[in-house]
Amino acid sequence: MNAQLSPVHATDGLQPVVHRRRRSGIAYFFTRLLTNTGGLIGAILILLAAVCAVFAPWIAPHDPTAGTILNRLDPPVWMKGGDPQFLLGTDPVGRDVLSRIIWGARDSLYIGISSIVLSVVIGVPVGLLAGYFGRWVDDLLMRITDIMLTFPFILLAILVMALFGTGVNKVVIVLGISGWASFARVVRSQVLSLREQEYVMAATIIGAPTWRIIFRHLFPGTISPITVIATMNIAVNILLASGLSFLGLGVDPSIPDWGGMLASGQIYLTTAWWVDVFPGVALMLTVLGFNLFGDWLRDYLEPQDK
Amino acid sequence: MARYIIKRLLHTVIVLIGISLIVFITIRLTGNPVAAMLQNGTPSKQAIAQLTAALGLNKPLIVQYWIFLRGAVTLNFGTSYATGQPVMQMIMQRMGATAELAVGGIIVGLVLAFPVGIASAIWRGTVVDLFGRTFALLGISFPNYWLGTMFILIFSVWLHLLPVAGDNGFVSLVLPSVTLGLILAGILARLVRSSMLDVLSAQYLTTARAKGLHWWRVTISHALRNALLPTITMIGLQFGGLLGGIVILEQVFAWPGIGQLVIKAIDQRDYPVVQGVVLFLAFLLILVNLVTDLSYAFVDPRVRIGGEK
Amino acid sequence: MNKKHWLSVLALTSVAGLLLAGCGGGASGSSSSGGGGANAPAQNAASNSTAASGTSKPAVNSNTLVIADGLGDPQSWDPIATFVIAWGEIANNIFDGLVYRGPDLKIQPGLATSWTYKDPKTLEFTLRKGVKFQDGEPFNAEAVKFTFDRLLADKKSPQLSNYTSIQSVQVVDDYHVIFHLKTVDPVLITKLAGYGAMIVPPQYIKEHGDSYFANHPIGTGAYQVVDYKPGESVTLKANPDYWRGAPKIQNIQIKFVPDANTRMSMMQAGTVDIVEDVPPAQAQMVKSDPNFNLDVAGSPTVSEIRFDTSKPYMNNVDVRQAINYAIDKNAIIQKVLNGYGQPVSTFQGAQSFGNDPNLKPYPYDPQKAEQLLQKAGVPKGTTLTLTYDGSDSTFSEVAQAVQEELQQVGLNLKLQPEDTNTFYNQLIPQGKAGDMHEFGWGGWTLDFDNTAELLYSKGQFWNPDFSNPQITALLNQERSTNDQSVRQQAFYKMDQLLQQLAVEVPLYQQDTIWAVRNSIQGWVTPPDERMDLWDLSYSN
Repeated sequence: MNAQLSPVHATDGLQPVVHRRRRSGIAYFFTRLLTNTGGLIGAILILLAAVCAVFAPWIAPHDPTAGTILNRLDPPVWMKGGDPQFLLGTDPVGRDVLSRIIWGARDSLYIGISSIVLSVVIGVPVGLLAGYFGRWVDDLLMRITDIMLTFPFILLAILVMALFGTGVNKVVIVLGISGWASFARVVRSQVLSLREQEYVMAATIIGAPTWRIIFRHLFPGTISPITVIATMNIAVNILLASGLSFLGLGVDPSIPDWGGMLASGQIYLTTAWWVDVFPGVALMLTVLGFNLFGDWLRDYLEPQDK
Repeated sequence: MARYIIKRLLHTVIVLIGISLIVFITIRLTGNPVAAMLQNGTPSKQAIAQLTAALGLNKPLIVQYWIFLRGAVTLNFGTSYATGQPVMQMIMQRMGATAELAVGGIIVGLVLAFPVGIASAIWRGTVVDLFGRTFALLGISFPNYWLGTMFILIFSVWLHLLPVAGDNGFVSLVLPSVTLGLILAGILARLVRSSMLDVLSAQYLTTARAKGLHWWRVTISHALRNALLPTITMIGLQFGGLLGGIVILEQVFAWPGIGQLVIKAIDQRDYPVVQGVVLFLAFLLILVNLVTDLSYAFVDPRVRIGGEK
Repeated sequence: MNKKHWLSVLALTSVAGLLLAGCGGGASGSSSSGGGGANAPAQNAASNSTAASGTSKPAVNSNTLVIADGLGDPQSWDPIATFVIAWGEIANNIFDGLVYRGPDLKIQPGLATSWTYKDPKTLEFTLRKGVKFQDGEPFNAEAVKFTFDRLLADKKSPQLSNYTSIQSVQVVDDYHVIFHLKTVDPVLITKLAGYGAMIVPPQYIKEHGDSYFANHPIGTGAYQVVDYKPGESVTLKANPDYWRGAPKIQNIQIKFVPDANTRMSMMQAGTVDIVEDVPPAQAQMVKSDPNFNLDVAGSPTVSEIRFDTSKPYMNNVDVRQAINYAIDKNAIIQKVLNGYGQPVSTFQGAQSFGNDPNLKPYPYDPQKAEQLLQKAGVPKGTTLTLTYDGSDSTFSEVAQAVQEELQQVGLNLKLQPEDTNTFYNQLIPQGKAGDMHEFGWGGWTLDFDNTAELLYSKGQFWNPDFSNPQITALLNQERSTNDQSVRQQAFYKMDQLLQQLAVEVPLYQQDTIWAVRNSIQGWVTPPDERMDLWDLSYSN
């Protein structure tokens, strides 16, 4: 919900990138990353979330789903009435906010990443086919893409939830379906320019099979823009998922999930701010991480843009 | 050019028909308005059957769709189940407020994006740049409903500077516009920055500098001219997202626009209103994109039309 | 690069730091009750307690009373075109019915001064003389006939279903009408205080049309609509010729503010006088505000968890009773609702006709619950699902508390929030709402008849499966007579039976909470959300 206003479409406006050979290798990647403040901070923030997600059972001081209503809304430890057991206080049902934030990294990253994978799996083939075959295939696929881009996200979300029920994976489906169109667009325009490249034309002339041209010659050229959009769209999708929670279309509220915590905590902003603010900061920092990293990645992978 | 426009218009028609079909089916797959309409009355079996028939919802789907499509051609989307008012009239009543908010958001976005983007480019690689870029990204790192609530809390409740919500003239437009504009500013600032960088590295500037012209003035004016086109395009491209943001923010700021109308209509499964608003917005969106593309071609003749898109 | 690097890390962290400090400082800042506009949120987060309270500014405009209304824009003012409570909340002041039900929920004479049953299917009303509509048109028997003819002819009206027992309305003379009924309807008098029965002006509607009327309503009520901005606000002006006497406050503006946080922010900013629907979580804030009073009334709205008796385990009365014992309703009311609710023994509130005050809810008894589950052969760790309306933030917390309590007796509860409309109009009717589901119900007639018919008679929209011959018999007995004592006995029997069968877990009757500026006199919190603004005035 939180606006499909996103860096995704930002790339729509860019001219297709001409694929160029450049220095590569892991060492070079890290050298570049380590010398760029923004990218580095982004990477660190992502890493931090990833560590929380992977090691949650060992890091989190409490069970994120267990609590007793008797401990409802304990303030953070440094405030009057705080309980040293609960560093960042407890939520309305008496669960430890810190533990829920740590566990929440799992859901947010899972939703963000797997929904993008789904978008890529749908969008990239559509873009490749449309771009390569052109004519009516292009027309058909691009009209479907247009329809997809114009269709309201909320309505799609309600449809999926009404037909398949709610839950984490349904959120992934909604986001995945709503996001593929931008991949299709970008891949298509990339393919259109690649098709004119000499090596691709040469392959066509010597009669290389279609699948070979698509996968060996065209697909590799689309990897950089896909990577950049994917990274920045993870950020967008994490925000969108929290928007779904705001509308009451999110996941089971007992599951620790930043978006859900944020949305349900809104009502406590003036009375028990920690319920809302801490998950908000966690969400914001992670999303910012993906944005910073993606921003750097764009400069790294598409240097002519700089 | 004429052929291109005709082709684009044809595409528009196809997309609109597609949208209308999908909305028509989607909204029906997710429930019907009848029980909601009877929720504070007596939703007994007979009452439900009777109301269903009165609303024409027992007709075959294909007939219902035909009625909807036939009306839509003349912008007649029928009357709302919830109010009995013509849908088009309801849309028009709300459109002004939404347009105000959209324009407000775009202005805030531009006003923030240009200085930040230009400063970022001039002091590229410095703290200023990092700060500018981080600011740009911060704008797109918050859920907007959360940001909106935070702004209300800070500026209205604690500082008593601005009205909380509602439409009371210009001042009440400030907070929602800023919330909306921040998101746009992030995206636009990046664009301005890269346009500016292009200009800074361009040959003619070196010449200008060598000739002793006031290079600041030259730089800024060139950068602005350079950034104008991509900015227009980007606003056009972001229009859909802008609408998405408006829908949520209208809720938070009690803004009497089309977003609140459609959220409520979806909630009540007020079919005619949902269909009408979605189709209307889709049309608007496509129109904006078309105009953007055309103006792009018009302003910059180098852009080849027909090949792309 | 290195130095720059360090600097920028600093820059970034200070941004995050600012954010944290801003929020922390804010929460504690609001707990210091610095009066008036001089409210400085610049304190250290560590310094203060959790009992945060915003101090609102004094009234902004004493000419116009401002109400922040969470129910939103009713979108049409036509009594027969509406079905939302938002309508009744406001339009109660614009229109009158033949009978009047005020905040005390008692039926009193309205536009009719008296009525008598000539036989169970013939009802005669004597009308009030000298009443005028706000445009000067006289109120008389013709207006009553016109109102009901118009309602009964509009097959698209969502109100029609409430008045199907009416055959026709006959004009006797200018001030007498007779209602001829198709069937005996013991709740009809109450229903005549309902939305669809509000008397409308015949000449005005004939002249201007339905569509104009829907935007520019005219009634006989205390206030007249002078400015309606769809989605935003409606402004009312006092009707000096009102039959109960002219209202004291000249202008009232009602703003539609769906977001609860925004409403509370408006209160803190001092730009409203009355706030509708304060979330229980924020009631404390109103209490500690020197300019506002917290007004609470028990609403007819009740909440429960309903079992789908067609599902395995749920078809076993022992399991259903066990779950009733396992849920600590009082703890939920005290903790989640902050005490703003009443326990209920059946699915109706205390004001409901048919509620047996001597029937006690199931006590909290986890041991007993475990025994019953064992007896029923439910293995430990069995997973059951509970679906609910995802937009209901209060119930979301209730559900999580219930989840915790069922855990104690060895049941896993899977929570499934759903889209509101999908939930009520697809999942429940199709029996797809899990093993149990939330159910909330307004019961606006305050008579158990409507509720019981819809929820315990098989094949009704929200009751695809449950039925019981004894309950059906009691229902038939109750609705075939106008003798209220017979009906009451039937309901009391039904109450007991329903409790034994444990078809549901009646949770609570929720209070409706309002914040009202303390300079306002004459305010009575309406349990059914229908405000009565006529008697309001400012003190001093």
